[in-house]
Amino acid sequence: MLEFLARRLAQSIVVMLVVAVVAFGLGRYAGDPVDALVGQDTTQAQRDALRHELGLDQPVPVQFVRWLGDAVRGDFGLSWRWRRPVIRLIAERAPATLELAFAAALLAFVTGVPLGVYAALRRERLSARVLMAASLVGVSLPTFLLGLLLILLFGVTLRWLPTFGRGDVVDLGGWTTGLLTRSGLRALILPSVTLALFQATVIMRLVRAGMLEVLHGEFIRYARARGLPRHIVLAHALKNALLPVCSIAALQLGSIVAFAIVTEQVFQWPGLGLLFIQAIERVDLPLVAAYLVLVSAMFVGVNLCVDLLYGLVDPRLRADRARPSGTLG
Amino acid sequence: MASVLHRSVRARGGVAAVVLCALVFLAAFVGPALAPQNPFDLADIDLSNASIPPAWLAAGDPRFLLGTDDQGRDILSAILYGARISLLVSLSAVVLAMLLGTAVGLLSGWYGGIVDAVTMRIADVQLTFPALLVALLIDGLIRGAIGGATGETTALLVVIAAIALSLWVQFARMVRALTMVEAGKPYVDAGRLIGARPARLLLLHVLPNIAGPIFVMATLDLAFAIVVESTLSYLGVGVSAARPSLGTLIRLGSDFLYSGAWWMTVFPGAALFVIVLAVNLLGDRWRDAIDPRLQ
Repeated sequence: MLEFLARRLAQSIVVMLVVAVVAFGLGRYAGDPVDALVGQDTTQAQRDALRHELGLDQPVPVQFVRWLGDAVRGDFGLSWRWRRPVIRLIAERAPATLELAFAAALLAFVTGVPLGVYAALRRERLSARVLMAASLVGVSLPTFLLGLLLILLFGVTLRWLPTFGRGDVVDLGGWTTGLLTRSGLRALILPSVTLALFQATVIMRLVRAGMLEVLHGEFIRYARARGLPRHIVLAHALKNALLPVCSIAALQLGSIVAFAIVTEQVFQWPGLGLLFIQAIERVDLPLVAAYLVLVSAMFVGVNLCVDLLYGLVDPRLRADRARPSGTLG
Repeated sequence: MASVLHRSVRARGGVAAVVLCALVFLAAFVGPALAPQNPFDLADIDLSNASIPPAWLAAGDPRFLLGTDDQGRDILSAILYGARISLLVSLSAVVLAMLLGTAVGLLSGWYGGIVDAVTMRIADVQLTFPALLVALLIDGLIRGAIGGATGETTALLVVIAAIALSLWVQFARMVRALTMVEAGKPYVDAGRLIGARPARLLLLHVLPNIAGPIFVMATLDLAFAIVVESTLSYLGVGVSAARPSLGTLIRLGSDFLYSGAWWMTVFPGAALFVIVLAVNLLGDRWRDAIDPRLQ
């Protein structure tokens, strides 16, 4: 277990280093930071002074180490567009994205898991077939298109729900939340549904496939043959089917962050995704680099946690590792 | 190969999937020749025809079946031309990803060693991130590297490269695993014994045996590539607005969503949805046909 842990940790560190090199290279080679920071009529002497002050006249490896050191402490420099520390901008926008992602993840799980179980148990029924067909529709509908259609239906035609921004937010000491106001909650509905649909269909298909595989297993046949009540058999099946699903679903939920970029653009949701897209459009490289590093750290963290939890939760993996030392299961 | 295709046609909904796909591709590649208007020809566009609703509405015009956009472009024509660009970009990207991934996968599965170690570490890094994010980042990186102002063709190539690079690892991973399985089978040993070279064994014997799953993955990836292309174009970092793909059309149309001109968004959106659905359906049926566990 310890060796496995060490190997996964080393792998994660390598991933983060690669990301750091890309992010650093982005800021270094895809534009001149001095040009981006100064105005038209800055003299050459002033430019040189700024270059020296920013350490840009140092050798590249030295710059990288300094940049990395700053980044580890959360200092990603000034945004070229906003002229403010990047980390502050990100901290201000993070609550909006996290609340949206959390709402969407919850929605996706709450709908995806029961529907998947149902589709597996009643797979010969018409309703289950309709459900599977509907899931293919859900996978085929691009996120941004779904968002636009929801805006058209519920915002423009029916005028039931807001389609723009976060509504009223409450500031809880640095964390702005829209979950405590009526307009904030109403504003959350359409974006979170948009973001959740794709994930819900993916989870549903995973749960269905997992359940079907487990239901064919020997231990389920044995449990049936013993005459165990149906709901107990199902509980055994679900426990075994959900394990791989949980790990894949957790990784899938990471992709909520990627799709949040699209959803935030559609609904002008003032979160990290919108900030990132605007940064790419305006070539605001420190901001792009910081987003890249932070989102990567999050992905790597989720991956690592999933792997470790998997090792802890699945007794078969534990048994495999325990065997060499002479103990059984 | 042929028998797999045959079986997928026989599977439930298989015929519908094949027919739908054929129609979509036909419309995209022959459609522009039949389109009522050339939306890229300024002489063909008249600003006084701007924002006309679909023909069956009271304010509609029979010349423009699905209405016009704010420039006076016929929406139906724009969709036919746009679908061709969407399919061209995503097909090229998937073929590129498939060739690269298959080549790397065959090599690392056959030889193992350093090639294998390096590619699989790259795959580990890349698979940490969702493909959409990877495509977005690669797109941004290439754009940053070649400077902001780019021509139509460059923009197309950037998007193709970004999508291809975001998808190739999946092929490499799968082909590597399949190659390792095949390499241990008796027919490969027999080939080795009669002195066949690795290149011959890989290309003439191993590759045909693992082609089915590769093509299924390519089909499902094509649907995904179409979604990624339209998403990049919707976000304004995809193909240029001078040669709009379906995603670009939807972005341009969505500016008029609130002013009631729904047809500018809904019809290109419906076209996009039908295309992705057709390809997904085909890939889904095909996968079921070659995976006996799912039957």
